[in-house]
Amino acid sequence: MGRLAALIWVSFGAITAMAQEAAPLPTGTEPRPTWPLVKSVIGLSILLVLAWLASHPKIRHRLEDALGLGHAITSGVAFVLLGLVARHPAVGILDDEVLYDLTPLVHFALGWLGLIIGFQFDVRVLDRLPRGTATLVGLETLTPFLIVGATGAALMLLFGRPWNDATFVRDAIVLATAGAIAATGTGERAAPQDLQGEEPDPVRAIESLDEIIAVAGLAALGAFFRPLWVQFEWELPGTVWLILSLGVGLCLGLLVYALLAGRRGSEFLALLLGSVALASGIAGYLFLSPLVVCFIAGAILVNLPGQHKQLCWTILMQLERPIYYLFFAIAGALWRVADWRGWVLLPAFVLSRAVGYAIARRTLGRQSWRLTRRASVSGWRSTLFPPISMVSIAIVMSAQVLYRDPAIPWIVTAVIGGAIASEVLSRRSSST
Amino acid sequence: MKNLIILLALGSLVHTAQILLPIGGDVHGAAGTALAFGLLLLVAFVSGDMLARLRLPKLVGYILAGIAIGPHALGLVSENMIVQLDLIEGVAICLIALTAGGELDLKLMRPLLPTIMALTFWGVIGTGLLLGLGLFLASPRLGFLQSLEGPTLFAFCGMLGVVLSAQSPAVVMALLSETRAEGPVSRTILGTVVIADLVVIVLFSGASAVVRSMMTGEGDPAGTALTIAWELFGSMGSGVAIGILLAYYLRKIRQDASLFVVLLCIIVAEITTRVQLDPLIVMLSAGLVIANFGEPDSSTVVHDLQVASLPLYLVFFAVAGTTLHLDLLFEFGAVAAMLVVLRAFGFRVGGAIATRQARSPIEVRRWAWTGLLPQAGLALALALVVQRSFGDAGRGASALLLGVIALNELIMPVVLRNALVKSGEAMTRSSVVPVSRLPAPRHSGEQP
Repeated sequence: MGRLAALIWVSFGAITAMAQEAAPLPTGTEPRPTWPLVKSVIGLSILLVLAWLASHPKIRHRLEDALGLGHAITSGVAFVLLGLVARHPAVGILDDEVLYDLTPLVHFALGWLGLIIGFQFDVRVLDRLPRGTATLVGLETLTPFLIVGATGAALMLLFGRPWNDATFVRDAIVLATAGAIAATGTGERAAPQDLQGEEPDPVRAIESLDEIIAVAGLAALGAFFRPLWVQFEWELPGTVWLILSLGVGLCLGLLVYALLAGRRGSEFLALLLGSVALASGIAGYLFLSPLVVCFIAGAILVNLPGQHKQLCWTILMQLERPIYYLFFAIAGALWRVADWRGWVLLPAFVLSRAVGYAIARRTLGRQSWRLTRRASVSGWRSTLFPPISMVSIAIVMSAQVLYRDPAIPWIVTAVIGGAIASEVLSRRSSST
Repeated sequence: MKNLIILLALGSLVHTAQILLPIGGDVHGAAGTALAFGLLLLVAFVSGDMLARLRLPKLVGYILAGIAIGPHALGLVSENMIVQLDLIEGVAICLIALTAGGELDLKLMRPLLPTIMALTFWGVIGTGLLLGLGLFLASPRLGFLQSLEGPTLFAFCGMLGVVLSAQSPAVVMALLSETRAEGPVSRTILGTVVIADLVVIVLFSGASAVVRSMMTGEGDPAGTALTIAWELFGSMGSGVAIGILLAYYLRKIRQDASLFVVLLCIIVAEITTRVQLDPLIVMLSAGLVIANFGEPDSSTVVHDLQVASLPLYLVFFAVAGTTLHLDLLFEFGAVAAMLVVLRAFGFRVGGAIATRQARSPIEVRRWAWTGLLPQAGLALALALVVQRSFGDAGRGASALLLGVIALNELIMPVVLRNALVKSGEAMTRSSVVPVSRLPAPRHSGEQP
């Protein structure tokens, strides 16, 4: 039921997009033909059904077994191809107008994911981690971040981005943030402590720290690199925008907590959907990242007492996969296959990531519990090519929504292609 | 108290966001859509909750929420946002119509059919004529009618009478669901508003064609008849086809049936209007097929949709509230109030005649007519058609119609709810959907 109601809202974005197409034209203009609208509606409906079906556990496991791919980001590659096909002028389902009109859906989806990641920020679980874990994970993440970022910045300059324009730095940070996160081993998220029983699993908590660090990076990005294509009446420094992000997230988190208290069933579902829509809408309104604002709201929700956590978690999980697949479809629609710069960036991304993890491994060695665990499962070489997290694609989407950057298609190529390459290289490393 | 604080907090947050907006406002509008959806949903929910504590229909709370935060009051939701959200109406109407059709079990309705037909004739058609006559007699006081005279004026007033006699299956369904009412009164009300809606659509199409022809001197009776026939029978035929498809799916596949239904509603909502079909009639017919020719438990799927559709319904009625022009009540207050009373009187008298003629049970005689009182979507849509199609007279008439509809939309759900309670049918239907149908969360490490 949660998936259904959530899908209704996800479909809303599609309806809005189609409705924009069908909006009455000013007098004197030719009426839009019916067939393209029909085609777009049916095409988007098929995409939604496929995303829904692919997220079904049985179908997902069958797909991953058949493709020999173990991670969600690689099993979502089919949707990238679907998006590419849907964008083709001959098909015409995801043209520029429709993509723009899907923006509310993207806002909502980013907010939903932010809430999920926020639910990982359970202070009680994090408190039980061994001392220094956060520092270790931070260092482990920072090294590939810096290497990927530096490589990305250098290549952006080579591609002709002006060196005195901070946007190439911003794009490099987006690429670095996307590359610095590694996916969890099995793709399963850490449920809130209350749902894990008496002994919460610290493994899951450590593996989620990457994403939390990435969200922090995204918050800084959204605060200090404001979009250049809009003007604000109030010229506020970056720190103020950062505090605003925190403040909005905090207020919304408390509001949602008050709204959800004592609710059940369809009311709970409706309120959760409305809350995420409101939060992502306010964030989008202010050109803040919906992912960051909803992360803070999610962190508030998971740390406050109440019976809401179990229901929240169940509903949130039901929509996670379809959202990722829809992101892949949109990423595919944004992808410029013929743009050589993305293909140049791809191997640089993979290699710089490997170098970053190699340095981290050498520096931290067996102090890093996570690296050690990964090595014990798949061999030390596989630690050079950890799988890329699905949150990475969400970060790319977030950047697209905020900045509408020409570099995004290159980053899409690098991240998607890098995910496939990382998995293939990782498997080869573990089998030798 | 908690609800009030939540409302204040929501309003303050959005107001603050508006102050910090970029120059030019939400220049591209994309984020505003999500914000408006979320804000309307939450404010409507909380308002409905507050009114429920006062034993008033939640529906009125949803509408009041829309009025309060809409562009005519606090302005937290702009007209642009409403235009985009207005389109959710299509899907909501399809779901409502499907659910309404799914409730119409012909075996149970058969004994009530004479009452339903009589109510439609005496109550709806009779009241429409009465209202038309009332407007004709009041025309010297209505400035927008001064340009019309004689037969044209009479026909125009008759057309407005048809619009004013329209009811609202959406409001009736919402109230029947909220009060969990079941019984002969509820079934009679639902059957009557569904059939009356069809009758009003046909009558309005014919009346507006006649008026247009009299005002412009041009007319195409054959074309008009064909258009009406296509809209009516084409919609019914399409609905039957969709109903058969749906029934087949429910019998053979069953899995994720709700998903299939929702996608169907999306496609129907977007495509039917482009081919001059009525989505309400299409999905009503589909629901009828499912209820009467589908598997016995197919209707459960349709009932379940009501649960998942709560967000849509909340926003649907809140958006209806944002489009209410309460300012027009000041302009036409006295005449609008007179028409509201006249309409209620017409339904009361027409209902009495109809139920006496049909020899209906006593409870049906006393309360069934109240189901005809609420007005919403259909009447609004017809009022907008009048506004667009008949020049200055149409614009003036539309303002009056909107004022009457606003009053009926706010006051009449309360009357209907009271009637359902006093008839003894409220809270008689068992809760058809469990408290939560969500699966239990899986602990990490468990197999899916």
